[in-house]
Amino acid sequence: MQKLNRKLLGKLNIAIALVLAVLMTGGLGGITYVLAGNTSTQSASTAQATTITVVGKVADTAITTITFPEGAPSAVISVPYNDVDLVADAQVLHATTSEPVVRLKNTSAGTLKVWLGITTWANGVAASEDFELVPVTTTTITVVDDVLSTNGNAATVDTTKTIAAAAYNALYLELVLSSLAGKTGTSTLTVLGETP
Amino acid sequence: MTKNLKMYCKNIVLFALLLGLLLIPISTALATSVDRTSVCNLEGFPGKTIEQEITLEGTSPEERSGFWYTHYKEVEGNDGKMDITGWITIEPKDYTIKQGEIKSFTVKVKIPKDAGQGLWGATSEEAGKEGHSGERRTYIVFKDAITGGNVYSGLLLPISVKVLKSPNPLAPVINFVKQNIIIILLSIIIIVMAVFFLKRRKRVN
Repeated sequence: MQKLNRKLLGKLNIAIALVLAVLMTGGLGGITYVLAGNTSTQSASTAQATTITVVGKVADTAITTITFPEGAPSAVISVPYNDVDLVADAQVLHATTSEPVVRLKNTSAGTLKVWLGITTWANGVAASEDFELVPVTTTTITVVDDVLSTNGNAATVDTTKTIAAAAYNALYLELVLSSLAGKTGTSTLTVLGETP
Repeated sequence: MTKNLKMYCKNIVLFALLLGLLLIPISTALATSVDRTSVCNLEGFPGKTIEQEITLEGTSPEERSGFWYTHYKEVEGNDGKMDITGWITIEPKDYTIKQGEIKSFTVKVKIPKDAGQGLWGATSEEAGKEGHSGERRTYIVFKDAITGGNVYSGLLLPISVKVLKSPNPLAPVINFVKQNIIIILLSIIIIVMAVFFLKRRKRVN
């Protein structure tokens, strides 16, 4: 009888230990900690990052194309025009009343640094292309000599110029035609923005 | 009577003018918006591919067609870790977008198996912040134009990757132990107690 009691008690000890362990595990895992609630909602938002738009000389209308009129082989073409202002209102280089070919408008919420790029002029029609990027209030541009492409081939240039949010810059372009005669070629102009 | 007629005519002209002004389409030039200005400090292991979603929103009244590409800014003194254009693909590459339309793109960066640990594509982890353009080297670029046009506009988004040390093969086991430390300790206690009781019982017997 004593042996039986000892056996039973031994088994009971193991059982109690197991039950305790299970209870502790369950208890620790299942505890929900209640903390004092004193929270308030915060909110914040960031403005849109939008590309620079290429617009007409006066109107805020997006332009589609820029055209350099025909010229003699090796001639310098400094009177390009856009499809909004048309040929009658082409770019003007003048010491007091210069007018750009297009304006660049920063529609983004922050300042953007401007990069310019062109694709290779088709049919080898261009020998080189230059640009000038200035504030719209500058009307004294007579020389366009910042290099965009030295040989008419594809190029991308960091102008290092910036445009503030909602502000405009004036873009002047100049193309030197190649020595080839009777050729017509196209290229694309790209205006890229980068967070400075 | 004539005076009244003149007045009537004037009113009609004024009304027509006002109506005309209302009907003139006001074209506000807008372009395409993006949901981030940089994709810097992505993290991944050698041989793995990182994916990052980017969305564009059309804000221009005209439909615009464009595409994505990569650009490497060559700077004197750059080491081999700066040009990661070969690691990057953007899907889909080409797009057309209308006003109010939102389109999603996936930037995939496939890290080569032999890529060393550290920062790739930029000279500093700050490159994505404003005022740090000099520290950027690799970019993803989107640009678009009014369909049929030859004047594109777009944005340069700097991208960089932090290549991490290859993970320890025992890491899952270590993580499991860390996450279940209490259960494991209690199990050990139970086993020790069970052994102790069994031994004691044998001794008593």
